[in-house]
Amino acid sequence: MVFSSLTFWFFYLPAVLLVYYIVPRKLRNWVLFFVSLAFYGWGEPVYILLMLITIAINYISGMLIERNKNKLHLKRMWLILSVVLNLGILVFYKYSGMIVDTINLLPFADINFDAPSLPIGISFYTFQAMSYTIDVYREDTEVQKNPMLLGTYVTLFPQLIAGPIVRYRDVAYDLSHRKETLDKFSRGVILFLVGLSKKILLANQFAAMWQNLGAENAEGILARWAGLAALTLQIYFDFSGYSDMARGLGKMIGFEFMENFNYPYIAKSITDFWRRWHISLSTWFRDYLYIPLGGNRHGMVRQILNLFIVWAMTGLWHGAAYNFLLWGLYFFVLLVVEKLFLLKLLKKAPSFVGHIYALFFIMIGWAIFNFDDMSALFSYLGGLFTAPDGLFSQESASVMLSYLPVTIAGAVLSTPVLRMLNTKLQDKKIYTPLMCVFCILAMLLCTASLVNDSYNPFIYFRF
Amino acid sequence: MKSKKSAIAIIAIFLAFTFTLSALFFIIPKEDYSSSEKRYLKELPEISLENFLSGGLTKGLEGDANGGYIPDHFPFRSFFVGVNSYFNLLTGSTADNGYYFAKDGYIVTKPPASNRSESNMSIINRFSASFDEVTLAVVPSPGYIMEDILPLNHIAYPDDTVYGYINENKAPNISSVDMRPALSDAFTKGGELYYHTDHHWTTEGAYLGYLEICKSLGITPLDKESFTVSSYDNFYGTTYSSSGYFLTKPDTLEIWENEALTDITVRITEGTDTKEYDSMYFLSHLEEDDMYPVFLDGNHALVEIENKNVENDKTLVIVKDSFAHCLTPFLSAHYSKVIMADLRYYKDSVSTLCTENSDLLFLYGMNNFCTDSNLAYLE
Repeated sequence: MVFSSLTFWFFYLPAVLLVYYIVPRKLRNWVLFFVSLAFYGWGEPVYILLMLITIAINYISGMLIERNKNKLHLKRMWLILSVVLNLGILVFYKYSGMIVDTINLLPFADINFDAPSLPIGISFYTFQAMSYTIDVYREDTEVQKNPMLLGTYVTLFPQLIAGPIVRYRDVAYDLSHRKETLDKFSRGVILFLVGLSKKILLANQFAAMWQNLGAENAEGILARWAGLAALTLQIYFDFSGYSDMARGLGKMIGFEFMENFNYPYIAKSITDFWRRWHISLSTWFRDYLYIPLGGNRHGMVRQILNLFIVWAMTGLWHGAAYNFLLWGLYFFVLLVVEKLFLLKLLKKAPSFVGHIYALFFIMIGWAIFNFDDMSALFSYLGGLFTAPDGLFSQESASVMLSYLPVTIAGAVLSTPVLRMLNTKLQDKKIYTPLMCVFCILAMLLCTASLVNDSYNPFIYFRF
Repeated sequence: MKSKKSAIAIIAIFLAFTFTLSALFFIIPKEDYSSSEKRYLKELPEISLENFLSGGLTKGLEGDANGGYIPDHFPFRSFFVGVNSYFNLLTGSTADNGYYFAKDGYIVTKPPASNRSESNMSIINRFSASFDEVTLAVVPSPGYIMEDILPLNHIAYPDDTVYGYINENKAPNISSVDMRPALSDAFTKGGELYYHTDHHWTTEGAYLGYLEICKSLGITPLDKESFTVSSYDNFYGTTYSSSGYFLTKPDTLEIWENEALTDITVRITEGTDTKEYDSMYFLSHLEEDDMYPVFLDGNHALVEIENKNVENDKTLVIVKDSFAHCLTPFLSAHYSKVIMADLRYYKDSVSTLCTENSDLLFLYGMNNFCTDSNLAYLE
């Protein structure tokens, strides 16, 4: 199930809220556990089993690590086993197709293999579950003796499918001690509606614009850049909208999840961008891969090697295809260049230079992210810098013009202007009515768009 | 929130909206059929463990672009569709909806995305080789004739290109009817040639087309004064329902009756089934939102019209789309028999419909002439 659907909003959510707030407090986590499994199983019920296996693996390894607290080699062995099992499941379900295809490139290889379909959210919940076991090993958190509570943490429906990747230690306290308050709930409502509007009113429009000005349809160099801008905005509003909805839903049931995006497109460098983009993922890779590899503590060469590994993995985490690997390594190169000298130069330059530089490479990055066919990618990239077909065609100009208002809105809303306005107005009398109007408008327009998706008249109907 | 009151206000608004709509979904009686979409709404999928595990239950509930149980029966559905259309209009992002919101309450179909007119022309050329004379009439796009009322940001219609191509490439035995001058002229003089809320032309527009076609067929047309016009209000056509601009005023549909058209037999064939009627006007469709099928009962594979007042023993074969439906009555005043074949549904031979004593007319709207791939069935 996705949040931006009538099914979730008008059927699943009211049912969950009703049951959750009716039952006594001590049963609420049970409620969450079961409704989250239902949420996950909605699309593909069989994969509930896989999720339960992941929970079991991490529950048992957590207990075994705790029991062998003082026997370092045993403790380590259980950790390694758990990591191997977690990653094994992830690799099998997500990467086996890619691996087999790669082996088949060899002249003598001809493996016949039907790759399993990808269980949704597996990359997110596997990483979440692993953070628990590793933190128990590091004694950064207490072991969870109640399997249902660990299960609730892994399956928690708000962040199950698209993050943020919440570390166990960050919600361990909330799991058993959270307080649901009116204040939290109301903030949750606003955050949920902000996220829903980002997804439905902005990201979906940019998706349509990218469709119209995408790889094959854009005629003219300006049209291609407008298309890439649409893709850039689509990815941000889609993903950050989803994170906002997750955080909003979390607040409605008393949880506080970390912020996952911090206006990434106002970054002054790529280093800055990655501190603002999908923060929970970068944090995960920093804590559970980069630092264990030695981070920056073993000299420059080793640090660059560590960065290489981290960014190759970050790329592949986003998808089982070579363009994602390329996308990760692209950022590795940029980050190393910045570390070596560019960052210092950028600091001296006027800040618009940094903004333009960062945005340019971010946009090119999204092109790499988007095309899993390498030849299509390179011909698209070529088209961004050559104009055999002029600036734009009449059709492209018409599309660009009709999406101009939403593009401007998207560009403005990727900056913190609303947040600043929010802080300014917070103490004014007008604030509450303003928020109420926003909620009503957002609900009306989002529902309208969701309902419209299925409205499909037949013009050439025959009686 | 700063105060408890504000928090409660926001929560109340959210919960009221959400719970009201979900409760109404269960309370409001479900409809089976959507007349604006002309389709049956989706039924409740089978609720069983088996169907759930196979994923059929969730797919049936959520559906896709062709509808699903929940979106199809959502409360105030057409209100929300309308809100969505007008909001997109307000933000300008209407590139995908296929319609221009034009002046004077006109909803105008955008130019077709593809252009197969060249291959359609060559099919017609090839087919016409075994005939003496053939008439090709392509009705100009509404947006081409009425360009003045379109929003500034619109793309060009292919009409000039297509007419140019036809004139240069048609076989010598084909005469092409160019309706552009007559229609443009009438439009500037205030004629209502196309519907505001439908993609077809009006009876008035079709009459002008008829005058031009008569020139090519060598017929003396019926005088405009010889008709008695009856008007029917509240016609909400296809562009109305597809665009979602539900505040647009309805059209008035006109039926032009004539003494020459009083003794008529209509035979409609679908597959092997033929039904007979004694009028070209199917008045029951005037009860529906979309009244256009009042002319010859809308789209059918094969329609035969016999006029017993005409004794010339001549047949006119029309290969056509639905633009022909309101024009054909005029032409049936001059032939003892008119046969209309719609290649979208009629897949048999057209040449066997033609006899030595028959004329052949191709009649298409510009949009279909550019997009229809069914001319390939012409044989």
